[in-house]
Amino acid sequence: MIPLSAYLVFSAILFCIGLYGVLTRKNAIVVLMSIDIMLNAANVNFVAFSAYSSPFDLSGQVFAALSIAIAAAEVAVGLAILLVVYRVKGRMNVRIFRELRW
Amino acid sequence: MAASGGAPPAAPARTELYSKLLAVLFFMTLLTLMLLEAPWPTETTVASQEQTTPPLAELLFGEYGASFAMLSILMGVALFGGLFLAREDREEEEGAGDGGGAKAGAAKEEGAKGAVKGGEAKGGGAG
Repeated sequence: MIPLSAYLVFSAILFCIGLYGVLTRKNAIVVLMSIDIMLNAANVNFVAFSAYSSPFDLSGQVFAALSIAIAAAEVAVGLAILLVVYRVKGRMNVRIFRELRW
Repeated sequence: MAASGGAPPAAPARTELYSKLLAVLFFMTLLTLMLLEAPWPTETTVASQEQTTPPLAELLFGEYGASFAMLSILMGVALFGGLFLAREDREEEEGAGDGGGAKAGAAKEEGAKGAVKGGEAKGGGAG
């Protein structure tokens, strides 16, 4: 039987991988993918806590499904914004977004 | 603003990278220690052997029906927003490139007038 802490440690590792990608990478698409990795870590937590704390209540799974859908919407808008920025600037570097300040 | 062009990565950049890596490692260690120390439940009455799809559907369309509907609206808005953002520049490029093609948008009144008068397609490119 896999203990809950194993899932939580796995989720923490996943979250830290995403955090490392967000902090270090400069390509905006990679940053977006890293954010999604962090969201998936949260989803693992949702399902794990739901399965271990109240096994007959599937609210955690429902939350995970809703979170996946929200992540899909976020990625759609983010990619569209990146596409426009790439057309205007010709680069995908996240430092471009500094020029969007006003 | 001025970034190093073709030069190898400078020492400050590498130091910054290492500091970020150290911060992430510290955060991960802290998180892992906290997770391992906490008295989490160690076993579950596995309900996953049974059918979980019907209760999941009941939750999605019953208790969480409102959030499900709001999420569908959100996804629709995101879809149309993404399409809008991605299409805007293409229209401008076509308008700037062709100068009155087959579309003849409402904003191109002058180009449309010219096309009606001449009756011929402008531009050297086929298409």
